[in-house]
Amino acid sequence: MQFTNKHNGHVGDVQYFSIDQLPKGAKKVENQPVAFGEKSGHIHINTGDCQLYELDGKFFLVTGNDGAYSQHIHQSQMTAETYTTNAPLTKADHNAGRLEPNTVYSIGIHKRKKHFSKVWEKVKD
Amino acid sequence: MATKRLEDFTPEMEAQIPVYFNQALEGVFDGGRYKSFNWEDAAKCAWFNYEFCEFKKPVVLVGANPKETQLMLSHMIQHFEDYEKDLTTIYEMQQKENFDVAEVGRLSNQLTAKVIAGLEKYGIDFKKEYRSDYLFTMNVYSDSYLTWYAYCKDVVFADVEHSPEVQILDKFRDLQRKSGIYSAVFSEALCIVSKYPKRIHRNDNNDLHCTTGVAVEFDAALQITEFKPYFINGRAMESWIFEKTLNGTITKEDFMKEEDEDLRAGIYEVVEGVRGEGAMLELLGAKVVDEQQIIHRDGSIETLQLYKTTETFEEEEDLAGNTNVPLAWIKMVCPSTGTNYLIPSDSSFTDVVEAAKYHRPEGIPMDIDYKWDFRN
Repeated sequence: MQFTNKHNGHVGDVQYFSIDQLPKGAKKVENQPVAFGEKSGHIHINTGDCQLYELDGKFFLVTGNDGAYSQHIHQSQMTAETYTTNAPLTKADHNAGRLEPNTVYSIGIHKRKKHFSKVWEKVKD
Repeated sequence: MATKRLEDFTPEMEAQIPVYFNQALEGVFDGGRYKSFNWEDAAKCAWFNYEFCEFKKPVVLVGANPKETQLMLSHMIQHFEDYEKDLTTIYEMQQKENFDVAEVGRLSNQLTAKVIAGLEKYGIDFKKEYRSDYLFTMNVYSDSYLTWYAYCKDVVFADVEHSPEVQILDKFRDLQRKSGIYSAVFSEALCIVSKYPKRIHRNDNNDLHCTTGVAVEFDAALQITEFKPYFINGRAMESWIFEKTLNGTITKEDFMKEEDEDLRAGIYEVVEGVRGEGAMLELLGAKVVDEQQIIHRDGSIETLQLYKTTETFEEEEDLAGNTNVPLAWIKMVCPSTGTNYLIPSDSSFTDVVEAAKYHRPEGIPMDIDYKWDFRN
């Protein structure tokens, strides 16, 4: 797996980096939130023509011909049609990000240092 | 049944939308509906809704805010014997034909005052329970539904003969609009309505926002019934951030021990809002050591700043293994909300872009440019 540097972006603290192919062993999983706001009830999801994969707790996304969106919405907005919606949804805080067609993305969370420790952890909100 | 297609929607019709928006929002943000509230219009709205649902007219009491209405109802349930006689008197009076509305109003306002006095005397001596206060025809959101209805009827379907049944929606709309009811809690014989806020503060995105106090200013009869919604750029904030900043007791440690980045961002906004630009640097005892502008691939421009404290800390160890080093943060601005975030970083960095790259998720190589194709 190599980072191609062709299409990178972020919606809030969820960051997307294009890669050349899925890593070996990545398993297809049901579409689901890739991040949660701990107190706010907000979630980060991917909608549209896309398929989510997972390997060792990390998510990867493969987009189809029609592309997809990274969205930041409130959990209460979820319906049966949410994941197939290929358009921006009503945002919680962050605007939706357009994901290119036929692209493989590595998805991760912005990290921060925990002062007075050597720990680098995912940003919490 | 008449139908319209998208092709029937004309620019003239579209031009009417802002007119109806403004009608729906009139008096909401500037306290107009709070100032014009009167018991009789509120009661008429409540009575119409109840009778439409085949209930009898309830006794209508008034709270200054939604929390106050909840506490009033809970208190009345807890001390029902103190209020039963007054409730029964008013309830029976208003079921009669041609009853004296002014007299019922006087007695109802008197009962409201008695309940508030009781709440002040006993305090919150009951389990706090939230009761649903949403009814789509008697609520701040009613303006949204009923105004769209009015727009469709008066503009989009203006050339169509309307059936008599639509008049009922006109009635709901007129009553709700005049009622000044923000929300209400309901029981079969009692309805306690809340007034609108006195003022609502927003940012340029129309998100709830105020860095110097509550974003939604509600009135309150008592200190225990105060309802203080604090928001920064549309995100709810905890009251202690404002209270400590306003009374001057907020400390660097308060900021550093807060784990939630959005609350930390809130602290930043409030401190800067209350004390002025640069106040956060002062609170942290930090200075800007590097600042750069990045032109991203989507054409947007981002300014990043690297802060370090002037003080060094024995317990802090940087990526190079050095101890007795300063604390560091990167300041980033959310492109969607404009909120400032101070992200804890490492003092070994002297270049803010190199620091920003390191903050990317685990496994992203440092030779990938810090250039985004989309930033939200």
